[in-house]
Amino acid sequence: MASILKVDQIQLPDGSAPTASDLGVDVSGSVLQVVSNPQDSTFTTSAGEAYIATNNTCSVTPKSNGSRFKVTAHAPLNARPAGSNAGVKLYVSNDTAGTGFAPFGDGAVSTLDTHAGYMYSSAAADLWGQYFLELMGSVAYSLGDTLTFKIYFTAQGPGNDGSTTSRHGHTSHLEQVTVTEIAQ
Amino acid sequence: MGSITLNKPSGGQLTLSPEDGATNETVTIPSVGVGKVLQEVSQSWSTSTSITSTSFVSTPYSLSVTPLSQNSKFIVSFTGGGMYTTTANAGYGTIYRDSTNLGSGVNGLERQKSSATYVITPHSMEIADAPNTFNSITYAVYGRSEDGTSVAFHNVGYGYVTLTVMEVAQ
Repeated sequence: MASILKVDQIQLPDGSAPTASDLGVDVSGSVLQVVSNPQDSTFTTSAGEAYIATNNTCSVTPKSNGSRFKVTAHAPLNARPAGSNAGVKLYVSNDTAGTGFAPFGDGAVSTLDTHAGYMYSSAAADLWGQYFLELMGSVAYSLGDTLTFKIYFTAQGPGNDGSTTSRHGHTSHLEQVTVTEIAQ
Repeated sequence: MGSITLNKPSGGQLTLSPEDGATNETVTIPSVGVGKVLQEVSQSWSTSTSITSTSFVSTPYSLSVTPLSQNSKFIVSFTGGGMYTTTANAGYGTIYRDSTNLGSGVNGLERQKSSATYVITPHSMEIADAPNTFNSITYAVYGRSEDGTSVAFHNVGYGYVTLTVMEVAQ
């Protein structure tokens, strides 16, 4: 005998919406969403300058409490002139809570607050390379909050003369941050 | 009434028993969990390591995992930091699963070389692996120098490197 159960809403006794766990559904390990944000901008910085925010960024509103995040980021990176370096960091901010940007990833903040990727050339006048980062981590948030992952960029040299024009990104190529939310 | 009891890999048992035995029935069991991320581990290091060997040798960067399913795929990546190579010498990187090089023979998964006096560029390797085992496995990053000249596979001054291992159910 076939039976049909039709409902348009399920509530807990207190009237709230049930979570997957309340319904006996194990969602741990499920990929809840993948968000990316291709850009094609260029940032130039000069010697000794502190890290600056780039447009290589991606925002996400988590769909579940306590999720883990896999974040990948890539972009062209340019160290110039000879003797200059370029470095990038991956930061995250809980925009809703107003936490400000802080290093993202599993590990000690003292480690993660250094270069996530680094490039230098001693002789090439205009060295272009590519960085690709892949980091896993957790972020403090509540449902409804918006998290923003962003690449920061710095450059120094050559030596201490302060004339570097190292660049992050290129208008002819896409750079991208991709965020994957994984339920726990 | 008959029943079938299965031992679950994660512990406990799953018992299948018919509602009634009046007629023959076929039950198709869906592949529960396919596509799920069963586990992921990640670690970042600023630890410096230099290599002069022309054969692949281990670095300090490795992670061990015990598979939660025998058929899983593992996505392994090693990114960031910087590798320093000097004039006309190439530096190579690869990822091993235990004693197996997952890269291409002596060329591994990444290569860096420049005619500049020296050059530093960030690491970027990723590979999918199917170890087909329940036993603990170790993914480790290896490096080598092309001509025996020292290669700074990573240096603390270049920030940090990150090794990530993700098990995906198949």
